[in-house]
Amino acid sequence: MMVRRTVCGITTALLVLILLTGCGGPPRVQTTFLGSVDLIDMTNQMAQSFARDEAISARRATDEPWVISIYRVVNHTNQVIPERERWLYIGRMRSLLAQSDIATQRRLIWIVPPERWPAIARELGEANEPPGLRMNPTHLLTAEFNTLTTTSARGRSDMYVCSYQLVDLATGLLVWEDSWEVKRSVTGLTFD
Amino acid sequence: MKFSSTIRQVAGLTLIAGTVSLAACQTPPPNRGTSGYRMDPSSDSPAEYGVMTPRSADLIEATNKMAQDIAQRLDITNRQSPPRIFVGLIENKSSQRHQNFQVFLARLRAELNSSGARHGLEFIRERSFVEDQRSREYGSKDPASTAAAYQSRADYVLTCEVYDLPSGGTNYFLLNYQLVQLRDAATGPDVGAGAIVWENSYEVKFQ
Repeated sequence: MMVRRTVCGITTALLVLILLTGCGGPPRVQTTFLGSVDLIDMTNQMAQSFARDEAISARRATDEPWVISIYRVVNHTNQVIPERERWLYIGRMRSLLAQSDIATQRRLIWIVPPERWPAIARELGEANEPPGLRMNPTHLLTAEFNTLTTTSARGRSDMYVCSYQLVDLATGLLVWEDSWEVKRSVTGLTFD
Repeated sequence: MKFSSTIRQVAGLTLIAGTVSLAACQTPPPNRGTSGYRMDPSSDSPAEYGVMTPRSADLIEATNKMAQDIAQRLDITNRQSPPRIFVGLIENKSSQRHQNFQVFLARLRAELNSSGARHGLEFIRERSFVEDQRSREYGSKDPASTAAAYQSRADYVLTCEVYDLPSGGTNYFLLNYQLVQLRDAATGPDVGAGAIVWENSYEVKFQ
Protein backbone atom coordinates (compact mmCIF):
# COMPACT_ATOMS: atom_id res chain seq x y z
CA MET A 1 0.00 0.00 0.00
CA MET A 2 2.81 2.31 1.01
CA VAL A 3 4.75 1.49 -2.17
CA ARG A 4 1.65 2.11 -4.30
CA ARG A 5 1.13 5.57 -2.77
CA THR A 6 4.76 6.47 -3.35
CA VAL A 7 4.62 5.38 -7.00
CA CYS A 8 1.38 7.34 -7.54
CA GLY A 9 2.92 10.43 -5.96
CA ILE A 10 6.00 10.25 -8.14
CA THR A 11 3.86 9.69 -11.24
CA THR A 12 1.65 12.69 -10.50
CA ALA A 13 4.71 14.88 -10.03
CA LEU A 14 6.15 13.60 -13.31
CA LEU A 15 2.90 14.27 -15.19
CA VAL A 16 2.73 17.84 -13.89
CA LEU A 17 6.38 18.35 -14.85
CA ILE A 18 5.83 16.98 -18.38
CA LEU A 19 2.78 19.18 -18.93
CA LEU A 20 4.50 22.28 -17.59
CA THR A 21 7.73 21.90 -19.51
CA GLY A 22 6.38 20.08 -22.56
CA CYS A 23 6.55 22.99 -25.01
CA GLY A 24 9.80 24.47 -23.77
CA GLY A 25 8.46 27.92 -22.96
CA PRO A 26 6.21 30.43 -24.67
CA PRO A 27 5.95 30.42 -28.49
CA ARG A 28 8.29 32.74 -30.39
CA VAL A 29 6.75 35.79 -32.04
CA GLN A 30 7.27 35.60 -35.81
CA THR A 31 8.42 38.75 -37.55
CA THR A 32 10.38 40.01 -40.53
CA PHE A 33 12.53 42.22 -38.25
CA LEU A 34 16.28 42.28 -38.73
CA GLY A 35 18.07 40.11 -36.16
CA SER A 36 21.53 39.56 -34.75
CA VAL A 37 22.46 37.27 -37.66
CA ASP A 38 21.69 40.14 -40.05
CA LEU A 39 23.54 42.66 -37.89
CA ILE A 40 26.70 40.55 -37.83
CA ASP A 41 26.55 39.63 -41.50
CA MET A 42 25.92 43.21 -42.64
CA THR A 43 28.49 44.95 -40.43
CA ASN A 44 31.18 42.36 -41.26
CA GLN A 45 30.61 42.89 -44.98
CA MET A 46 30.44 46.67 -44.71
CA ALA A 47 33.64 46.85 -42.65
CA GLN A 48 35.43 44.75 -45.29
CA SER A 49 34.07 46.93 -48.08
CA PHE A 50 35.14 50.11 -46.25
CA ALA A 51 38.67 48.79 -45.71
CA ARG A 52 38.99 47.69 -49.37
CA ASP A 53 37.60 50.91 -50.84
CA GLU A 54 39.90 52.68 -53.32
CA ALA A 55 39.51 56.15 -51.81
CA ILE A 56 40.35 54.86 -48.34
CA SER A 57 43.10 52.47 -49.50
CA ALA A 58 44.78 55.34 -51.32
CA ARG A 59 45.36 57.20 -48.06
CA ARG A 60 48.77 57.07 -46.41
CA ALA A 61 49.84 57.22 -42.78
CA THR A 62 51.34 60.65 -43.44
CA ASP A 63 48.15 62.22 -44.85
CA GLU A 64 46.06 64.79 -43.00
CA PRO A 65 43.87 62.81 -40.62
CA TRP A 66 40.21 62.13 -41.32
CA VAL A 67 38.37 62.59 -38.05
CA ILE A 68 35.31 60.36 -38.19
CA SER A 69 32.21 60.60 -36.03
CA ILE A 70 29.21 58.30 -36.29
CA TYR A 71 25.47 58.85 -36.54
CA ARG A 72 22.72 56.32 -35.90
CA VAL A 73 20.89 54.57 -38.74
CA VAL A 74 18.31 56.73 -40.48
CA ASN A 75 15.33 54.39 -40.53
CA HIS A 76 13.09 54.62 -43.60
CA THR A 77 11.72 51.10 -43.18
CA ASN A 78 8.24 50.13 -42.12
CA GLN A 79 9.60 48.56 -38.95
CA VAL A 80 10.24 50.28 -35.66
CA ILE A 81 13.95 50.15 -34.85
CA PRO A 82 14.64 51.48 -31.33
CA GLU A 83 17.20 54.26 -31.13
CA ARG A 84 19.67 52.12 -29.17
CA GLU A 85 19.62 49.53 -31.98
CA ARG A 86 20.10 52.23 -34.61
CA TRP A 87 23.39 53.12 -32.89
CA LEU A 88 24.29 49.44 -32.66
CA TYR A 89 24.31 48.96 -36.45
CA ILE A 90 26.97 51.68 -36.80
CA GLY A 91 28.79 51.00 -33.54
CA ARG A 92 29.58 47.40 -34.41
CA MET A 93 31.04 48.40 -37.76
CA ARG A 94 33.25 51.07 -36.17
CA SER A 95 34.32 48.58 -33.54
CA LEU A 96 35.36 46.06 -36.21
CA LEU A 97 37.39 48.71 -38.05
CA ALA A 98 38.97 49.94 -34.83
CA GLN A 99 40.18 46.41 -34.11
CA SER A 100 42.21 46.45 -37.34
CA ASP A 101 45.24 48.54 -38.35
CA ILE A 102 43.23 50.65 -40.77
CA ALA A 103 43.18 53.72 -38.50
CA THR A 104 46.99 53.85 -38.33
CA GLN A 105 47.62 52.89 -41.95
CA ARG A 106 45.04 55.25 -43.43
CA ARG A 107 45.30 58.03 -40.86
CA LEU A 108 41.76 57.78 -39.52
CA ILE A 109 40.73 59.02 -36.07
CA TRP A 110 37.46 57.73 -34.62
CA ILE A 111 35.78 60.11 -32.19
CA VAL A 112 32.80 59.71 -29.91
CA PRO A 113 29.58 61.21 -31.26
CA PRO A 114 28.37 64.46 -29.67
CA GLU A 115 25.55 62.59 -27.92
CA ARG A 116 28.12 60.84 -25.71
CA TRP A 117 30.36 63.84 -25.12
CA PRO A 118 28.47 65.36 -22.14
CA ALA A 119 28.95 62.16 -20.14
CA ILE A 120 32.68 62.30 -20.82
CA ALA A 121 33.04 66.04 -20.32
CA ARG A 122 31.31 65.82 -16.94
CA GLU A 123 34.59 64.57 -15.53
CA LEU A 124 36.25 67.86 -16.50
CA GLY A 125 33.65 69.87 -14.65
CA GLU A 126 31.40 72.06 -16.75
CA ALA A 127 33.21 75.26 -15.78
CA ASN A 128 36.59 73.82 -16.71
CA GLU A 129 35.73 72.50 -20.16
CA PRO A 130 37.29 74.79 -22.75
CA PRO A 131 34.74 75.65 -25.46
CA GLY A 132 35.05 73.39 -28.46
CA LEU A 133 37.31 70.89 -26.71
CA ARG A 134 35.97 67.90 -28.59
CA MET A 135 37.68 67.52 -31.97
CA ASN A 136 35.75 68.63 -35.03
CA PRO A 137 34.98 65.64 -37.22
CA THR A 138 35.74 65.91 -40.91
CA HIS A 139 33.63 62.90 -41.83
CA LEU A 140 30.57 61.02 -40.65
CA LEU A 141 29.91 57.27 -40.81
CA THR A 142 26.19 56.61 -41.05
CA ALA A 143 23.60 54.37 -42.69
CA GLU A 144 20.14 54.49 -44.20
CA PHE A 145 17.77 51.53 -44.07
CA ASN A 146 14.98 51.27 -46.64
CA THR A 147 12.48 48.50 -47.28
CA LEU A 148 10.02 47.33 -49.85
CA THR A 149 7.21 45.84 -47.80
CA THR A 150 4.43 43.58 -49.03
CA THR A 151 1.60 42.44 -46.81
CA SER A 152 -1.27 40.21 -47.85
CA ALA A 153 -3.55 37.53 -46.46
CA ARG A 154 -0.71 35.07 -47.03
CA GLY A 155 1.80 36.91 -44.85
CA ARG A 156 4.39 39.61 -45.08
CA SER A 157 7.77 40.15 -46.66
CA ASP A 158 10.32 42.92 -46.28
CA MET A 159 13.19 43.49 -48.68
CA TYR A 160 15.77 45.55 -46.80
CA VAL A 161 18.38 47.71 -48.51
CA CYS A 162 20.82 48.86 -45.82
CA SER A 163 23.14 51.45 -47.25
CA TYR A 164 26.25 52.54 -45.30
CA GLN A 165 27.99 55.81 -46.11
CA LEU A 166 31.01 57.88 -45.22
CA VAL A 167 30.01 61.53 -45.71
CA ASP A 168 32.45 64.44 -46.02
CA LEU A 169 30.94 67.06 -43.69
CA ALA A 170 32.53 69.99 -45.53
CA THR A 171 31.08 69.15 -48.94
CA GLY A 172 28.34 66.57 -48.32
CA LEU A 173 30.16 64.21 -50.72
CA LEU A 174 29.62 60.49 -50.29
CA VAL A 175 33.24 59.38 -50.05
CA TRP A 176 32.23 55.73 -49.67
CA GLU A 177 28.92 53.93 -49.96
CA ASP A 178 27.99 50.28 -50.09
CA SER A 179 24.85 48.37 -49.30
CA TRP A 180 23.74 45.07 -47.84
CA GLU A 181 20.43 43.46 -48.73
CA VAL A 182 18.21 40.81 -47.28
CA LYS A 183 14.65 39.68 -47.86
CA ARG A 184 12.72 38.31 -44.91
CA SER A 185 9.37 36.65 -45.12
CA VAL A 186 6.71 35.24 -42.82
CA THR A 187 3.65 33.28 -43.81
CA GLY A 188 0.32 33.15 -42.06
CA LEU A 189 -1.14 35.90 -39.95
CA THR A 190 1.38 37.98 -38.08
CA PHE A 191 1.35 40.55 -35.35
CA ASP A 192 4.16 42.71 -36.78
CA MET B 1 0.71 -9.06 -8.81
CA LYS B 2 -1.12 -5.94 -7.56
CA PHE B 3 2.13 -4.01 -7.61
CA SER B 4 2.89 -4.98 -11.21
CA SER B 5 -0.66 -3.89 -12.25
CA THR B 6 -0.07 -0.48 -10.63
CA ILE B 7 3.19 -0.10 -12.51
CA ARG B 8 1.38 -0.92 -15.78
CA GLN B 9 -1.33 1.68 -15.03
CA VAL B 10 1.25 4.30 -14.16
CA ALA B 11 3.26 3.56 -17.31
CA GLY B 12 0.09 3.85 -19.39
CA LEU B 13 -0.84 7.18 -17.86
CA THR B 14 2.67 8.53 -18.36
CA LEU B 15 2.62 7.45 -22.02
CA ILE B 16 -0.74 9.16 -22.61
CA ALA B 17 0.35 12.35 -20.85
CA GLY B 18 3.60 12.44 -22.82
CA THR B 19 1.79 11.91 -26.12
CA VAL B 20 -0.76 14.64 -25.32
CA SER B 21 2.03 17.01 -24.31
CA LEU B 22 4.08 16.35 -27.46
CA ALA B 23 1.02 16.59 -29.71
CA ALA B 24 0.23 19.97 -28.18
CA CYS B 25 3.72 21.14 -29.11
CA GLN B 26 3.19 20.11 -32.73
CA THR B 27 0.17 22.39 -33.07
CA PRO B 28 1.27 25.90 -34.07
CA PRO B 29 -0.08 28.65 -31.88
CA PRO B 30 -2.99 30.44 -33.59
CA ASN B 31 -2.29 33.53 -35.71
CA ARG B 32 1.47 33.19 -35.49
CA GLY B 33 2.36 31.83 -38.92
CA THR B 34 5.72 30.27 -39.62
CA SER B 35 9.11 31.59 -38.72
CA GLY B 36 10.50 34.76 -40.34
CA TYR B 37 13.14 33.47 -42.72
CA ARG B 38 15.64 34.83 -45.20
CA MET B 39 14.92 34.27 -48.85
CA ASP B 40 16.33 35.06 -52.28
CA PRO B 41 15.36 38.69 -53.04
CA SER B 42 14.94 37.91 -56.74
CA SER B 43 12.08 35.51 -56.04
CA ASP B 44 8.57 36.16 -54.71
CA SER B 45 7.56 35.43 -51.13
CA PRO B 46 4.19 33.79 -50.43
CA ALA B 47 2.95 37.23 -49.29
CA GLU B 48 3.66 38.61 -52.78
CA TYR B 49 1.67 36.02 -54.78
CA GLY B 50 -1.15 37.87 -56.50
CA VAL B 51 -0.16 41.29 -55.11
CA MET B 52 -0.22 43.99 -57.80
CA THR B 53 2.59 46.28 -56.70
CA PRO B 54 6.29 46.16 -57.53
CA ARG B 55 8.17 43.49 -55.58
CA SER B 56 11.77 42.92 -54.62
CA ALA B 57 12.50 41.27 -57.98
CA ASP B 58 11.30 44.48 -59.70
CA LEU B 59 13.42 46.57 -57.34
CA ILE B 60 16.53 44.63 -58.29
CA GLU B 61 15.76 44.56 -62.01
CA ALA B 62 14.81 48.25 -62.23
CA THR B 63 17.79 49.59 -60.27
CA ASN B 64 20.30 47.28 -61.99
CA LYS B 65 18.96 48.38 -65.39
CA MET B 66 19.19 52.08 -64.49
CA ALA B 67 22.66 51.76 -62.99
CA GLN B 68 23.90 49.96 -66.09
CA ASP B 69 22.39 52.58 -68.37
CA ILE B 70 23.84 55.54 -66.46
CA ALA B 71 27.26 53.86 -66.34
CA GLN B 72 27.23 53.42 -70.13
CA ARG B 73 26.20 56.99 -70.89
CA LEU B 74 29.49 58.76 -71.48
CA ASP B 75 27.78 62.15 -71.63
CA ILE B 76 26.63 61.58 -68.03
CA THR B 77 29.44 59.67 -66.36
CA ASN B 78 32.52 61.76 -66.83
CA ARG B 79 35.80 61.04 -65.05
CA GLN B 80 37.21 64.50 -65.87
CA SER B 81 34.18 66.39 -64.65
CA PRO B 82 31.90 64.05 -62.68
CA PRO B 83 28.40 65.48 -62.29
CA ARG B 84 27.56 66.24 -58.64
CA ILE B 85 24.24 64.64 -57.86
CA PHE B 86 21.96 64.44 -54.88
CA VAL B 87 19.18 61.90 -54.60
CA GLY B 88 15.75 63.48 -54.23
CA LEU B 89 12.49 62.07 -52.95
CA ILE B 90 10.52 59.60 -55.01
CA GLU B 91 7.33 61.06 -56.48
CA ASN B 92 4.63 58.48 -55.93
CA LYS B 93 1.85 59.29 -58.39
CA SER B 94 0.38 55.79 -58.33
CA SER B 95 -2.94 54.71 -56.82
CA GLN B 96 -0.93 52.96 -54.06
CA ARG B 97 -0.37 56.20 -52.16
CA HIS B 98 0.58 54.46 -48.92
CA GLN B 99 3.43 52.51 -50.55
CA ASN B 100 6.94 53.73 -49.79
CA PHE B 101 9.00 53.42 -52.99
CA GLN B 102 12.04 55.45 -51.80
CA VAL B 103 14.05 52.23 -51.78
CA PHE B 104 13.98 52.38 -55.62
CA LEU B 105 16.23 55.46 -55.46
CA ALA B 106 18.29 54.40 -52.45
CA ARG B 107 19.29 51.12 -54.07
CA LEU B 108 20.19 52.82 -57.36
CA ARG B 109 22.56 55.23 -55.58
CA ALA B 110 24.13 52.38 -53.62
CA GLU B 111 24.58 50.35 -56.82
CA LEU B 112 26.25 53.25 -58.62
CA ASN B 113 28.50 54.07 -55.67
CA SER B 114 29.67 50.50 -55.20
CA SER B 115 30.42 49.93 -58.89
CA GLY B 116 32.93 51.30 -61.40
CA ALA B 117 30.43 54.06 -62.27
CA ARG B 118 31.42 55.93 -59.12
CA HIS B 119 34.56 57.24 -60.85
CA GLY B 120 32.43 59.25 -63.26
CA LEU B 121 29.78 60.44 -60.77
CA GLU B 122 29.83 62.25 -57.44
CA PHE B 123 26.98 61.75 -55.03
CA ILE B 124 26.27 64.37 -52.40
CA ARG B 125 23.91 64.00 -49.44
CA GLU B 126 20.84 66.22 -49.51
CA ARG B 127 21.19 69.67 -48.00
CA SER B 128 18.88 69.04 -45.00
CA PHE B 129 20.90 66.03 -43.87
CA VAL B 130 24.26 67.81 -44.08
CA GLU B 131 22.90 70.91 -42.34
CA ASP B 132 21.44 68.79 -39.53
CA GLN B 133 24.70 66.92 -39.09
CA ARG B 134 26.84 70.07 -39.08
CA SER B 135 24.54 71.59 -36.50
CA ARG B 136 24.75 68.40 -34.41
CA GLU B 137 28.52 68.02 -34.70
CA TYR B 138 29.76 71.61 -34.71
CA GLY B 139 26.98 73.65 -33.17
CA SER B 140 28.01 77.28 -33.55
CA LYS B 141 31.55 77.12 -32.26
CA ASP B 142 33.12 77.66 -35.67
CA PRO B 143 31.22 80.11 -37.94
CA ALA B 144 32.69 78.52 -41.07
CA SER B 145 31.34 75.10 -40.12
CA THR B 146 27.80 75.96 -39.06
CA ALA B 147 24.73 74.59 -40.79
CA ALA B 148 24.02 78.03 -42.26
CA ALA B 149 27.50 78.20 -43.78
CA TYR B 150 26.93 75.04 -45.79
CA GLN B 151 26.54 75.51 -49.53
CA SER B 152 25.36 72.47 -51.45
CA ARG B 153 27.52 71.87 -54.52
CA ALA B 154 24.99 69.57 -56.17
CA ASP B 155 24.32 70.43 -59.82
CA TYR B 156 21.78 67.65 -60.49
CA VAL B 157 19.00 65.77 -58.73
CA LEU B 158 18.32 62.09 -59.37
CA THR B 159 14.61 61.47 -59.00
CA CYS B 160 11.90 59.03 -60.00
CA GLU B 161 8.18 59.30 -60.72
CA VAL B 162 6.01 56.26 -60.07
CA TYR B 163 2.74 55.87 -61.99
CA ASP B 164 0.26 53.03 -62.29
CA LEU B 165 -2.79 52.17 -64.35
CA PRO B 166 -5.16 49.73 -62.60
CA SER B 167 -7.66 48.18 -64.95
CA GLY B 168 -9.85 45.07 -64.92
CA GLY B 169 -7.93 43.09 -62.33
CA THR B 170 -4.53 44.10 -63.71
CA ASN B 171 -2.15 46.89 -62.85
CA TYR B 172 0.55 48.48 -64.99
CA PHE B 173 3.42 50.33 -63.27
CA LEU B 174 5.83 52.83 -64.79
CA LEU B 175 8.92 54.04 -62.92
CA ASN B 176 10.39 57.06 -64.67
CA TYR B 177 13.95 57.80 -63.52
CA GLN B 178 15.38 61.23 -64.34
CA LEU B 179 18.51 63.26 -63.80
CA VAL B 180 17.51 66.92 -63.69
CA GLN B 181 19.93 69.85 -63.83
CA LEU B 182 19.50 72.31 -60.96
CA ARG B 183 21.44 75.36 -62.13
CA ASP B 184 24.29 76.43 -64.40
CA ALA B 185 26.38 73.36 -63.79
CA ALA B 186 30.06 73.46 -62.92
CA THR B 187 30.19 69.71 -63.59
CA GLY B 188 28.65 67.19 -65.99
CA PRO B 189 26.59 67.91 -69.12
CA ASP B 190 25.66 71.57 -68.77
CA VAL B 191 22.37 71.90 -70.69
CA GLY B 192 20.54 74.43 -68.51
CA ALA B 193 18.57 74.65 -65.27
CA GLY B 194 15.54 72.36 -65.32
CA ALA B 195 16.83 70.24 -68.20
CA ILE B 196 16.30 66.48 -67.95
CA VAL B 197 19.79 65.38 -68.93
CA TRP B 198 19.06 61.65 -68.58
CA GLU B 199 15.87 59.63 -68.38
CA ASN B 200 15.02 55.96 -68.46
CA SER B 201 12.09 53.87 -67.32
CA TYR B 202 11.10 50.49 -65.96
CA GLU B 203 7.65 49.11 -66.61
CA VAL B 204 5.87 46.05 -65.33
CA LYS B 205 2.32 44.73 -65.51
CA PHE B 206 0.67 42.54 -62.87
CA GLN B 207 -2.33 40.34 -63.63
